[in-house]
Amino acid sequence: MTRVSGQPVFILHRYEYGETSLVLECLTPEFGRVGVLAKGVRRANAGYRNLDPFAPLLIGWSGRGELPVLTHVEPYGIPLALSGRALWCGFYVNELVMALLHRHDAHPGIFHAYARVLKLITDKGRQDAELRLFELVLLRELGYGLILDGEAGNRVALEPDTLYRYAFDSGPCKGTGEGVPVHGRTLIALGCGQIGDGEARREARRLLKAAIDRQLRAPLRTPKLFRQISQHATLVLKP
Amino acid sequence: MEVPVIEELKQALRRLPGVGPKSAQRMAFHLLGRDREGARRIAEAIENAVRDVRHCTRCNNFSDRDVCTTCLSVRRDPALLCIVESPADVVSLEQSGAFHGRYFVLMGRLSPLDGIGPAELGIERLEARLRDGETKEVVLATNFTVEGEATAHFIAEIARACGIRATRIAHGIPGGSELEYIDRNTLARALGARRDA
Repeated sequence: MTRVSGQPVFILHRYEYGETSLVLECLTPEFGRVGVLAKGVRRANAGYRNLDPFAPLLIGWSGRGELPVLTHVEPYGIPLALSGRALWCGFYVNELVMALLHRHDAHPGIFHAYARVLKLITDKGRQDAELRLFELVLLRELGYGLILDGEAGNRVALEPDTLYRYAFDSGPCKGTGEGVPVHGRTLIALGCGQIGDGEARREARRLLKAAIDRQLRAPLRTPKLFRQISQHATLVLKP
Repeated sequence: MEVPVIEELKQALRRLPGVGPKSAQRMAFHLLGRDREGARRIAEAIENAVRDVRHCTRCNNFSDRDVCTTCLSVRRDPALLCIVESPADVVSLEQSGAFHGRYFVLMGRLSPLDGIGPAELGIERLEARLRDGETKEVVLATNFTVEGEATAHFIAEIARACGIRATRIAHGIPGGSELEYIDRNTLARALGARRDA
């Protein structure tokens, strides 16, 4: 029997379970992603019911196996008010974490990067750059980090104006061949935790998308929905 | 001793939400042992409903005719269109007695992580409704969950693109409650949406 209390979490997703319960997929600093069964929380007279994604919570759970039972929940910190485009960015981040982070694989770095990106995507001008930086940290934490400190093999310093081919099994290579085309300056900026503008941003997006796609078992659903939504309304999001 | 028709009845009853094997057995034995007339009425009512009930072509709610009585009523304001997630929400709003416009029932909500997008929700029908020239204000009454908020925001964008005013029902403190026991999320939103007293 495991008993955990006072664990800060963000809810990534929740499913209905039976008539009155929910299964919460939580991101925690100490235990990674955990599934927790919240019994009876959909009843009209349930206590704390605001178990929506993105709300910072402090929870406790108890039990053995894959699905321990929620024993305690309370709000933690200042609630985040995501709306509009920021909300769509949040859904994308949640799906990404759900897809790439296995249950019980603890990565405090991912938890902190997640808390950071949720705060920063509320700033419209920074949304795209912050999503890219989160993808970069997520890949690095999971052991799929990009090689950004030099050329493949010899680690010779990258030249800003050179167009490299980024091969995922070795790194940035000069010349023609397999890999994602990307300029040295884009890779150097990524190595410093920065996303440039214009072409550099587009290159970073293409590179990170290719790196993520390699790790996915099935395509993500949120980007497809964003495309549908942007066809309907004026919202345009390119996660 | 297992009787196949009784087993079949129990299995059928288990399709109802909240009915497990024990409840299904109790219901089956009750209907067969003590209320056969009731059982016939249930069977007949289900058959009639399944045969006759469809979605209203205007509001998408359940109806026994092509256009439901709410949509046909001349006493309701055609300029106001309230968007809700489910037929149960229409019942709740009607019970409030505070809304006299018309409805559109989405029969769900956008849920990106479950793969439910505009196409799955049949947003085209709502768009067609908004372009018919009658609606002047869309009242967004989707649930106050992140998915409900995302849905409301998306429909507000469509409404604005059609030149229609979009309003969201207020988010605040429930009547008869004390501030001490209100969660901070609700309290923050209520403060944000305060108005002149």
